[in-house]
Amino acid sequence: MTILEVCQLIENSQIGTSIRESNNYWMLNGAHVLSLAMSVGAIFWFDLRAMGVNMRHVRVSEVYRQISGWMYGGFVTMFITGVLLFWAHAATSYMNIYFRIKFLAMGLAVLNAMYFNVKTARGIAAWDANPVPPPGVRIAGIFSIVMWAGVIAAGRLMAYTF
Amino acid sequence: MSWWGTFVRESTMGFAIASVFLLFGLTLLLGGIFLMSLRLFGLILTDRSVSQVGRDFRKWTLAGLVLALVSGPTMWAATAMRYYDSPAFWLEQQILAVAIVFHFSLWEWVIRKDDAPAVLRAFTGALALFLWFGVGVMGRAIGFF
Repeated sequence: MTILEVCQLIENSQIGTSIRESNNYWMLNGAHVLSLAMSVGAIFWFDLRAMGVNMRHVRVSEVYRQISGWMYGGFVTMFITGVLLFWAHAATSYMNIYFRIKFLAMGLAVLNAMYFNVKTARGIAAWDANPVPPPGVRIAGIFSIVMWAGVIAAGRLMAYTF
Repeated sequence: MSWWGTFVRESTMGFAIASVFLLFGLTLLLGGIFLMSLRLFGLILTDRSVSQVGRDFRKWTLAGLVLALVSGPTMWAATAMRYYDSPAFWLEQQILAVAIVFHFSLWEWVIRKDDAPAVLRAFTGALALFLWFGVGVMGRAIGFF
């Protein structure tokens, strides 16, 4: 069975069809878009600190500690609503170039975050309180913003090519 | 139809790009409002004063609002006749008007004060979330109603 055939099964399933044909579909769509505020909207503020652009008098680790709980909550909401939306349009999404770009950008953003947590943040004690962190940290911040902007753009452009 | 609206409409990519920038603006705006409201509720960054946190979030939140207020009408100019019949659009515009007045009055005043009563702060934060996410919900509904 090809991936496309699996996606078609998912899309044509009872659950997929009920979601797609539901009168409340617009609420699911809205919840996915608005939880952007809590996920990407929150990570943006951390990235600004990592870039040394904002909240320079707060330790980088402290900004992360204060925001991360809410940010992860936002990403969980995005994931749940995203899975349900995909369920309703699995095959259409799989064939859509912007959907694939969106997932590529998301993958790169996640890899960037993982690299930062595993590697860059090891020496955090040395620069945590610095108003402007070292270049590696700043690059991670800019890369994160660019990748998530790409996710938003690709996600939006999916709607015009469905 | 304005020349700008005509340009955007006849450039399908132009309309799509405008909607992308609207989403960028909304992410900045709603993200900033969301986190600042959490501060007003006393849930995050409580070791920094309200006015300090207000200053931290203010600039970029405003940038998001400006971006949204420029890209939104750009989309509207291209599809004015279609939006005219949308009840969601009119409701969105009404909530937006209230949200803007609220933002540049009570919100701006409360986020600059360190001695505002907790009840007032909580009310301001809750109202901000209600209004701005209300604009977002109605805006999303435009495609459906």
